[in-house]
Amino acid sequence: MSDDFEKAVLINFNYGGNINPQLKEQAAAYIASIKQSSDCWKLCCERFPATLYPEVKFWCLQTLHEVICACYLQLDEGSRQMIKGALLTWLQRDCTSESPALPPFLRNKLAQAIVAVVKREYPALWPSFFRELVAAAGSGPGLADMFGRIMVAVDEDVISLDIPRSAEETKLSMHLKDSMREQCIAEVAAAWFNLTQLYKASRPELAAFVLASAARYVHWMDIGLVANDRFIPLLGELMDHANPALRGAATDVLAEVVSKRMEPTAKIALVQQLKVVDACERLSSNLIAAAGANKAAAAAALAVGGCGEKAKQGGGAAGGGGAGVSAAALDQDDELLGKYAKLLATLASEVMDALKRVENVVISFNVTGLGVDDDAARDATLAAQAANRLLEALTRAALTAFCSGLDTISMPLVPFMSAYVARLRALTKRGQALPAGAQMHIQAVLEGVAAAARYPADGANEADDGSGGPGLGAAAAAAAAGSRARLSDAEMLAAREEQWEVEERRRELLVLLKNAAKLAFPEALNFVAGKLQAVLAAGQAAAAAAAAAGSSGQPPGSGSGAGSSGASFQDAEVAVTLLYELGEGAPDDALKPGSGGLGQLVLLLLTQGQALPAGQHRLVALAVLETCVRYCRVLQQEQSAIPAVLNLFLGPKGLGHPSPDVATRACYLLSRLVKTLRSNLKPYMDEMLRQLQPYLVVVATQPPPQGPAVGTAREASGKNLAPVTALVDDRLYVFESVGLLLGQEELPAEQQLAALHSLLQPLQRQIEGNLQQAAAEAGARRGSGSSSSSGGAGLAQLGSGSWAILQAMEAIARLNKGFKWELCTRNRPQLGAAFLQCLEVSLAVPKALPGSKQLRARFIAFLHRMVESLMATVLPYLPAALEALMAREADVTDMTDVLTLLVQLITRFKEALGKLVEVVLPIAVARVHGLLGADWDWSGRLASPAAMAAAGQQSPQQQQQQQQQQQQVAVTLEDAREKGELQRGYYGLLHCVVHNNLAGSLLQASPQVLDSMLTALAKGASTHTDPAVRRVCVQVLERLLQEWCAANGSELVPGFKSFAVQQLGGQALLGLFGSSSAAAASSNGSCPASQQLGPLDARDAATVALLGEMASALKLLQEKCGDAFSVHLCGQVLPESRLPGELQQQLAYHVRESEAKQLKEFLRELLLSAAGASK
Amino acid sequence: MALPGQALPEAGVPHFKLVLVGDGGTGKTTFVKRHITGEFEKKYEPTIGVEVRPLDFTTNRGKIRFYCWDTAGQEKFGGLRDGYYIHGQCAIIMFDVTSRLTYKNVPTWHRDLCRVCENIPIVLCGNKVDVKNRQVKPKQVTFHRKKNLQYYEISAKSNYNYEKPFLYLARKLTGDPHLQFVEEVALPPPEVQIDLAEQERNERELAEAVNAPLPADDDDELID
Ligand SMILES: Nc1nc2c(ncn2[C@@H]2O[C@H](COP(=O)(O)OP(=O)(O)O)[C@@H](O)[C@H]2O)c(=O)[nH]1
Ligand SMILES: [Mg+2]
Repeated sequence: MSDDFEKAVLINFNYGGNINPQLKEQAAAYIASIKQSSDCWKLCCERFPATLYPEVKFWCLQTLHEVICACYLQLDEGSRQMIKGALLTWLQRDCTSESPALPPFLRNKLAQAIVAVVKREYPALWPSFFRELVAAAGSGPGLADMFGRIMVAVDEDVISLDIPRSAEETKLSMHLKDSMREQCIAEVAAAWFNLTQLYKASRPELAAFVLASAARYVHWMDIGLVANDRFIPLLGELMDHANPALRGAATDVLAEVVSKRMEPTAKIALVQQLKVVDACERLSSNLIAAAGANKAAAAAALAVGGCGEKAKQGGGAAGGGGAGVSAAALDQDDELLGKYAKLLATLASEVMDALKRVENVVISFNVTGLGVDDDAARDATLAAQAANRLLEALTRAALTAFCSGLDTISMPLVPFMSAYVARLRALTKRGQALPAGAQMHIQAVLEGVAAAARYPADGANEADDGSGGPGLGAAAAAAAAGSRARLSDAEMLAAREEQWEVEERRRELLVLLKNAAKLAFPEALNFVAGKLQAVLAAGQAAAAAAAAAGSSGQPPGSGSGAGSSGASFQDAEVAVTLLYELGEGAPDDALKPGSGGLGQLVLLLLTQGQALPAGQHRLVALAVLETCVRYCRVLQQEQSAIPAVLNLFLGPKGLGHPSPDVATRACYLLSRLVKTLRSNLKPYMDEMLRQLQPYLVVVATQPPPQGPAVGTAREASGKNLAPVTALVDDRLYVFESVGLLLGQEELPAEQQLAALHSLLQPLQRQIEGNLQQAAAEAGARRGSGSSSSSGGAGLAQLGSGSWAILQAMEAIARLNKGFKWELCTRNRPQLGAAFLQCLEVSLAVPKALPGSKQLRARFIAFLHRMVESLMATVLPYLPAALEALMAREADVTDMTDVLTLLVQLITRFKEALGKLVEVVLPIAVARVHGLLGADWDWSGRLASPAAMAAAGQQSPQQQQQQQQQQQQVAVTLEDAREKGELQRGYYGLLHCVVHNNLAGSLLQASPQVLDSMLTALAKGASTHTDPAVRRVCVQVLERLLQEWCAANGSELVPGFKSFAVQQLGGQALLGLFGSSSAAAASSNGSCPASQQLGPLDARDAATVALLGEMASALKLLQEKCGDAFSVHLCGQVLPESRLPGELQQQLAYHVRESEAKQLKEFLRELLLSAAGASK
Repeated sequence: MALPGQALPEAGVPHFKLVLVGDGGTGKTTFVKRHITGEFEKKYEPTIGVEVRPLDFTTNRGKIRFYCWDTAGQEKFGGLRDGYYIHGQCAIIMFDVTSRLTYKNVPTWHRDLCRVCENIPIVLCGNKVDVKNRQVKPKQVTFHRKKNLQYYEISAKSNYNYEKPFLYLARKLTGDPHLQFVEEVALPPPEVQIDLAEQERNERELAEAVNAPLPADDDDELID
């Protein structure tokens, strides 16, 4: 029965997508036209009660709210009364009964509209509003609910400054608060009390809501309205109420009361008045008495912890009883526990802060001495004493709670704990005595950290039995584990996510640990030692028991359950992690032998890490390995412990761990261990190599397991991150370790060489043996049309043949890192020869697979590595390498990479590369020209960003074609950009050649090749859109002129002088002014954009640099070519320049007579004035 | 198996209305468009200023779908503003870490949202963390703690933390805190690279700021 209006509104709300768009547009237009009318508020007032649709009611309230905000005060009195009257009627009539009640969003919307009126009318026009509201609130739960909603809206829409407000609104907020304080806040506060009291039993949720609205007002109203002997006992009672929402709301109000800003003495008095502290204290002692602080008990302690009522009743029995009652209820409500903890933390922090401030008062009285008010001094001292007593009790209670091991409780207490530790440190620094019990407190802080940092029981990591998948020992593990169930991907993900969360949570806990250690290092050390020893002892006991019971089949230390190994993985992991972190707070010399016990403790782990219970667990294994490496310097003094650590790393809890997380991390950590201990490891090298051998085989031949996606690279978040590179397999660090071990000069040469050979040979065979298959894979790929081109395609998409080649090359490169170049080239050239042989073998890779981007990239990286280590001895291999890289299949970007490589090689080897350049350069030039094509526009216009933008705009009208064409445009643009890069690389190479004394090698090229080069340079010098590129070209030509032409007229290349005069002295000069005829000639008509280029912008620094280069080039021409140049300049160039005659003469003069510097200045002014003139 | 939700739609997939709010330019549209299904199945409502996109995720308990209401340009187009929030079951409030103002306005968005949707799970997202020169530092982000929201730093352009907000909401809505997404969300490759080390520092700062009125005393360096 809905009419057009209702239909239109409903259509507007509907996003099911099944309404036709035209209808929707009509509906929207219709609604918009209604809104336009000046009395649309009347329609809203009529329709709200009439309609059955909540959406339509919502629309009416929303529109009314808009009207009120836009023009309420401009409306006439009658209209205003009608709007207000309607709102109040709805409030009284539609909100009373709850059953066909308005849904919450309409109640809130109504409250919002009413508050919009209040904002404009209270107090001046509607002074009785709050009194009326309070009166209405008493007439039933529905209106009590609306009272709460309206009080929330008053806060959110007018008062609270958490919402950004304009200056005017801020004033209004102050004004409203002042008026309320003056006129009605006491009555409102009474209503809060009465309604809470009234509904606490029958409708606890409602009571909670009302109280929550009160919490918003506590911080600015007279505190006596809450902190009195009616309200506080009520709050205390409610904190023990059966309904969690009500308990939470009461706690929040109390926390607001406690954190209210006031003078420290007043604050101390307030906290005393609340009587919550007694309760806290008694409870904490109850809790300690109760055997072992289990979680439920800790939770219960907090439940009653803030309860004032209990204090009044007195008697520990009541407290104990309360604890028992609340435990179960509390267990279900994390949020509530958090609120209790927050209250306790707030209390403790506030008292400590107040204490600090009164202490400062006392201190300043003492400093100023006489002349101050004795009473004031005494008051302050008394307050300080009271605060100290409070703090003592609160600290005890807080510590008990902190040790609960329940995050929701312990985490909110961390800031207080940190502040407390900071206070103790400050006292120590000032030389003051620590308060009684401080030692015990520190102990409790440490306990709390350990408990909170622990992995949760029954968490996602519980299931981990150390069989997370095929690790490095893949073959062995698979055989041994056989049927053992692997964790599913989802389980693995969940386990890693929990790991991440725990690491996040630990960060601030570990800062606390560090600070506690700085305060009391011996205690912290003792504590951690105790934890570690307990875990080890439990492991030994379990092992002994197992041995006594005969063959249980379980080797000691395997599995994670406490049953099999005596301690849970959580205990073992946290003990080791605490040891890791202890180093952060340790004094500098703690690790030195004989000073402090940290070194001793570390040794305990290093030597007995094998026997750690649950040592096979993924997280325990990780923690142990990390910690061993963190402290591995200790082994430099205590070499007897080295074998134990090596056993750990090389065994099933290290590289052999079935979880790829552990095995891969172990590879990286081993490389760090080896780096630190390199020479200390010499005695063990043979054995290490022997043990590493199987892992090397696995890493080299088996792709890393494809675990579930780990998301962002986070696994190692807290600790030293291995460098992350998307495509690199971190297991390869194991080759780096071996290289470091083997690359030591002190080893006997023969042994070293033999070992290296035996490592390299299988890798070489792996390269050779997979070429055919890789080529076949590449062929298949081409056939199927999916190119393995650059970007996204990761290693995962490689065929197995290609992967094997990549991995072998990288493994060789990693091995090579351990061999210094002196060793390879001077002292033991046989080593170098072994690597050279690898290089020779790998030359076949680009030859056989010229089209594979990944293999090309890896080969180039490999070449770089070999150059680093073998220096000039690689030279004989370079021609073949480069030739292979420049094969026909190399595309534009490939070729750009080759040019870069050439530049790098020339820069390193300089003249020594002369012969190579002679051979390679002509090939490179031919390839570049071939790739760019005969019609390439050397001005670079097509490859510039501006060209891209312009092309993008030429989208055709026809819609269907548009997308397709745009794609084509995009392809062409990308193509042009890549070619532009190649052109730059080409110039860069020529520049590099001539500036490394290799210009002579150009002379060996055929005349055609030479001609191509020179033409390309000339075009670049006169037309390129980028002045920096022009400059490079000018420099090359200038250098050639310098080298090839003598002032006496002789020239190495016949005709070069006249070429230089024409191009450098002619086109390049004209190009500055944008009047080069070469500009038009540079594109062979294929490009419609061959209009003249404008003059260069002389404000651009790159242009200025070019002008400097041009000036010296012109001076050089003058020097070398003299008259021929002058004649050409004056006879042809200047007339063509279209400069005014006078300027032409000046230019000719400067070229002839001035220094290069002056000439450059003149050119710059010419360009600047040309730019000015053209405007 | 079915997730608790409301009436099952087309393919029996549980679905939820997700409201996405925040100042203009914070990246809301970019964010929802990253998701492939969102891009291809969007229903565009240009005149009214909201786009509804179905975003599908595969969990270990089956598929779920968010109908993402990407609100936009409401004032200008005379849209329904907070009317769009009605029956919203979860929400994301987005701000832009390169613009302080967008963070300042978060409380307003939160207020308006909660007025219409009481007690729904909400995620606060600081977007564009790929940008080097951010204006809102992790330590300055405190709003979520006051209101018990979840906060994530994200970068729509680099896909950083893309699925985190959805996973959080999915867990809240299904009541299963161990819910996992089992298939990788198909996203286009990142348009920008995020500096992971830098972001690592940011996340660390955030974690340390969680309850941080005290001067964090970590002036000493590693022994290592
Ligand atoms: N750097 C960066 N820019 C972003 C990111 N997300 C969005 N943007 C840009 O921010 C601008 C506004 O994005 P848009 O999605 O339209 O914002 P909306 O108004 O909230 O829908 C666009 O220019 C986006 O490209 C991001 O993660 N990083
Ligand atoms: Mg948008």
